[in-house]
Amino acid sequence: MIISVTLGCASVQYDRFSADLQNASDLYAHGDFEGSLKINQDIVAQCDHKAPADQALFNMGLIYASQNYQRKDFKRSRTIFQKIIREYPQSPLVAQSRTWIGVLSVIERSKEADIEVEQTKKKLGR
Amino acid sequence: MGSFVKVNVLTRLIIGFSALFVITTSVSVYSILKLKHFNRASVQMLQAGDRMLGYKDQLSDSLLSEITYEKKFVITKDNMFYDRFVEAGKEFALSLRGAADITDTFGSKELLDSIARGHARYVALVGEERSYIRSGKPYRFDRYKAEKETVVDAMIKDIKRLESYVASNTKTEIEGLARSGTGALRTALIMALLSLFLGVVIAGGITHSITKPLSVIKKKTREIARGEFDNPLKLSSPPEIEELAHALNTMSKQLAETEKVKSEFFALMTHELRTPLASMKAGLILLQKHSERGEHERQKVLTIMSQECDRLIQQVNSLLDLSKMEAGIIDLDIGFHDIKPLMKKAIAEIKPLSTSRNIFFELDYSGKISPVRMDPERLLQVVRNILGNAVKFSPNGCTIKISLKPASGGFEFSVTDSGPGIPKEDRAAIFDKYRQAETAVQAGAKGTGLGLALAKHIVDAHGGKIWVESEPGKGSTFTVFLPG
Repeated sequence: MIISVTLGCASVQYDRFSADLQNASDLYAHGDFEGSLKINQDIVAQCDHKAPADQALFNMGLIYASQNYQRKDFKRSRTIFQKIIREYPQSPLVAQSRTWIGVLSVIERSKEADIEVEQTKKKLGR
Repeated sequence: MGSFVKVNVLTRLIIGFSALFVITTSVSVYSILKLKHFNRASVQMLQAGDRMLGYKDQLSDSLLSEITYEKKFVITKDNMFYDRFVEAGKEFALSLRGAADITDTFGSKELLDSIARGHARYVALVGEERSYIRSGKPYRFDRYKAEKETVVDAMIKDIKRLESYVASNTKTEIEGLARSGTGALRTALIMALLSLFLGVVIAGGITHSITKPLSVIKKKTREIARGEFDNPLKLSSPPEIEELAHALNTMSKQLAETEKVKSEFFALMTHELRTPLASMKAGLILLQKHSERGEHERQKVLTIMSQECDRLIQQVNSLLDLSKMEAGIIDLDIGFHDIKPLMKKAIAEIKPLSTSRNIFFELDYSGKISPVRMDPERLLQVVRNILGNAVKFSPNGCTIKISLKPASGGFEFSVTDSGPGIPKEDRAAIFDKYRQAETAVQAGAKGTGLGLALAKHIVDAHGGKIWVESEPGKGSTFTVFLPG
């Protein structure tokens, strides 16, 4: 009963924010990253660790990892994905979040490696 | 040196110019060879430096590729990056071998060995790390990273030192080349100065060897012009100058002889002219002082004076004729005449004198003598002269042979006397003016020395020829040939 109540509540809550999520998704698709980010942040604040806060966080992680977003921040994106894994272990988005963390980690280490190679290049005078 | 004395002027000039050419060419060839050597050495040096720097760049690029692929492999664990790392490592090893092949200094070889050792260590570390990655076992990533960085830093330092070493080595070689160039320049300058000095010495020596004898000859000609015929030139080199000196000596000798003959001639002429004049003056004094003498005596004195006057006129005429003949201004009255009457007339004229000395003529007229082209008066002069000489130089009581016969293309007449004869060396000279043979002088014969010279001119003017055959002590034969 508790489960059904909870699921029921969740379902009710999901329905309540589905329009906002759709709106945020549309804004993301149209390149309005700031607008989409704001809607997702509002959803997370209102949901209080309940669905669809994990979806909104996931969306925020994607926005910070977006190539076209001027304020993109891979570290922040990775932190958001780690938060999903840590705070929403039951979320179906955990697996995707892990993948994203790995990808972002490779990208970051690659950047570090590139910087190191550049320094070596300078040492060799190339 | 002795053989150089015999070298002629042209050969001397050729030798001189050849020597100058050889010297100049030697200096030029030396300079060209040295320049070529420097050019080749510079090019080789720069090429070696460039190639070494090229290998250094290849090493740097390969190492950078290796580092890049190695890092990406460790991050992504993608074997594709490891394969690329291996390929870059091969390129690195290839460049290292290429650099080792062209290096020729101990320092650079040592550096290359150090780089090779570092590279081997780096490859080994990456290999170990790969094993850990493939096995999935945990390993000390940071330790490997630090060790790899240490090895790579050491390699980078060695590569940088190699570059500095190559630059320093090139600089040292350029300095060596510059020192060598300065030395070569000094040598070339010394050679140029020496060749200049040698050129001046050779040119001066050869010019001096030609001009010095010419100066001596010039001095001698001035002496001759002053009438100083002594001290003949003694020049033996070069041969042309020797010949010139010899010719000048001969000319000087002949001039001296001519001078002597002229002096003798003037003395003789003076005597010959003074004798009849003295005789005529004596006759005049005799006539003045002894006017009371009889007609017969006066006539006798006048006859002698007239003869002396004729003799004087004859001598002056001979002198005048000879001068005209020599000047080529005498006219011959040429026509066809018989020679025999002319001979008879000459014999008749000389007969009183020859008879007084018991000298007889033996005539030999053989063959038919046709009239020939001649000036009878002039030819009579020739016959008179030859006959007169024959009588003059023959001893009393002898016979003079006169021959007249046809000859090829004309006729010949000859007069053979029994006189003292003419030495061989005088035979040509007796036809020169003012000359008498030595034997004639010794015999005390009087004469101006003009007769035979005049006879020769007359015979030559007729296109004929006159010559003498003689043997000292046995007489002489004078022959005249006249063309028909």
